[in-house]
Amino acid sequence: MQLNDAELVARLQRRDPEAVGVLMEQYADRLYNYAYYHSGDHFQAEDIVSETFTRIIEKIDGYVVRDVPFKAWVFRIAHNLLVDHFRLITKQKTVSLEVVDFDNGPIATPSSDWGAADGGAMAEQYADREELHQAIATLPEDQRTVFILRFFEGVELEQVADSLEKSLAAIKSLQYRAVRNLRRALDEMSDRDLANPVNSQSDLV
Amino acid sequence: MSSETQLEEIFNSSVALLERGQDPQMAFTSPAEAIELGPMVGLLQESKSWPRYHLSTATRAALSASLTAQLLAMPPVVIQPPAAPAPQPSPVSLFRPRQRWGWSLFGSAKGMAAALVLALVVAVVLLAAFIPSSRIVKAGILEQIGADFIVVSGQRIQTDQNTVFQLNDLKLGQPVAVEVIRNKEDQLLAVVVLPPGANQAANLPGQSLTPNQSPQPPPAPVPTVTPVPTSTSAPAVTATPVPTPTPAPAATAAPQPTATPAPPSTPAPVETEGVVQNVVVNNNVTIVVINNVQYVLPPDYVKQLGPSLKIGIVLKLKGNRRGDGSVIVVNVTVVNNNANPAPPGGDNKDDKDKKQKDSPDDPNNGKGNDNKNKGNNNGNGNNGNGNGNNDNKGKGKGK
Repeated sequence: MQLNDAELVARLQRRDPEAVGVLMEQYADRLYNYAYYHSGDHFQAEDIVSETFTRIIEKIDGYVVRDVPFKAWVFRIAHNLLVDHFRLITKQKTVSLEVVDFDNGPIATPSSDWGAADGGAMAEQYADREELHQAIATLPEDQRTVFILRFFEGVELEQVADSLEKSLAAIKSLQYRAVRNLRRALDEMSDRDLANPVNSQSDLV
Repeated sequence: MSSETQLEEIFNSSVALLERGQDPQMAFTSPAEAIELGPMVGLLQESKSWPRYHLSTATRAALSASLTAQLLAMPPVVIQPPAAPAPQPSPVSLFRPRQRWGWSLFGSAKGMAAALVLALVVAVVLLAAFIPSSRIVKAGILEQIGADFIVVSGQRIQTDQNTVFQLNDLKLGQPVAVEVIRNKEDQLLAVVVLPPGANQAANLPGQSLTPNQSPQPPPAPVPTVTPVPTSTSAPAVTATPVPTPTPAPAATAAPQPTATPAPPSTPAPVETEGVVQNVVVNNNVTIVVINNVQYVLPPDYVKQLGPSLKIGIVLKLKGNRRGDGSVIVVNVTVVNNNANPAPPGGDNKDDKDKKQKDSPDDPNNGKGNDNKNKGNNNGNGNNGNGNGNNDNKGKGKGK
C-alpha cells in the first residue's frame, strides 16, 4: 500500500496499525541504507533505524505537515540520532567517528539477509565494497550526510536543508565539496596503497 | 581557470540538469570546467549503481510489531477546535481625520459593507424567528389547569415554561383572558393568562407580571389532610412539595431572581397529573418527582401505597397552594399502576429542553431572565413552593 506523506501521517495520528506497515515499507530501507553508509556498521544502523521509528511514533502527534516535509522530518530525526551516537562514541573513544574498521569490515559478520540488494558496476570497479565505504568514511560528517541524502536517498536540496536545519546555500556548498572530496579519495585509493586512510582525511576538509 | 565559487555554481547547475534527466555537461562553459567537474559529475552518475542495503527481515518484523504496539498504546489524539481569533482592534485609521484613503480604505470599506450585510441577514432571520406573528386571545372560564395545559371554556391551551400567569389567585371557574403568542413558524413563544379586559400589550414576555420567589427551605413533611377515599383502589395521600434543587449546570450564570414575598393569601387550586420520574427515600422521608417537582410523601401514605409506589406510575395530585408558596396536596390518586420506568435522565421532553437551555453553550443563557419562573407561583402545580426558581434559569426568550 502506498500513501502520500499527509495520508500516512493522518493515519498514524488516528492510530491505524496498518500505517506502521506503510511507514516501515516506505522508510525502513532508506533509513537503514542512510545509517549504514553513515556508520559503516550494521548493528549501529539497525539501532539508529529502530530508534528513529520509535521517535517518529512518539512525536507523530506533534508533527504538522505544513511545517516541514515528512521525509525531511524523518531524516532529521535519524541524523540527530546519528550525531548523538557519534558524539557518544567519540567520548568513549572506542571507535573513530570518521573511520570504519575496514580490517574487520562492516559486513564481515552479517547475521541474516543484510547486504547489498544490487551490487553495481561501481562497486566492482573499486575492487570491493569496503573501498567504497572507506572513501565515503573519509568525508567529514556534514559532507557525508549531504552526499548520502542527496545521491543515495534522492532527497531534494530543500528537504536536506530542512533535515539538517541549514540554509540552501550551505547544502549546495556541502554537496559540491562532498563530491569533490569523494572523487579525490576514490582516485587516490585506486592509485596508491590504502594502508592509512585516516591520514588522507585531513587533506579533504 | 574558474574560481572555486564559480565551479561550485556550475557543478550545482549540472547536478540540477542531471536530476531532471538532462545532460549535465550542458552546464559547462569551458573545457577547463569540463576537465575539473566532469569526473565529479561522472561519480554522481555512477553512484546510482552503488549498492543499497536492506534492513534484515527479522529485524523488520520485530520492529514493526514493536512500533504497532507502541502506536496502539498511545492515547488517542483529541482534536482541539481552533482557538477563536483574538478580537481585532477597530480600524482606527478609518476614524482618523484627514486620513489618506487608499487601497486600505477600499479593503476596510468592503469589509464593513460585508459586515453590514451579514448583520442585516442575521437581523432578518431573528425577526422571522422571534417576532410574534400571531396573537390569539381567548377569553372564558378557567376550567382546568394541567401540567402543561389549561382549559378555558372548553378549549385546551398548551402552556410551557414561558407561560405567564398574571393572576395571583388563579382559580378554577374564574373568568380569564389568555393570549397565545406564536411566531411565523407557529412556534409557541408565550402564553399569557391575565384578567379579562387587561391591557394585553403589557403582558408580553420579558415584562414580568408575576413576582418571582427565591428558593425556600423545604418544609417539614407533615401530613396535612386526612386521606380522602377516591374512586380508585389506590389510597389518597397528602404530599407537600419541596423546592427542587435541580442540578442545574454550574456554568449557568444567570442571576438569581430577586426575592419577593409570596403575595397570595388565598389558597389556589392545584391539579397536576404525571408520571413518577423518581422516588427517593431520605431520612425516612419519601420524595416523589413528578413533572420535575419533588413532593414529599408522609410515611403513612408511603405505607399505604406500598410497592405500587415506584417509578413509572401515574399519580394525580390535587391540592391548594398556600400563601407561602407551598402546595397542600389534598388528594393523590394512582391513575396508572403500570410502571413504565423512564430511562435515566428521563425522556420527558421538558427535561430535554431544560438540559439544552441550561447548557453552558446555550447562547440564550443569561438572557431573558425576566421571564424566569413566570407562572410558577400561580398554582399550576408544576413548580409549587418556588421550585421553579432553579429549574427555569435562562429559559426566557430574552426578548
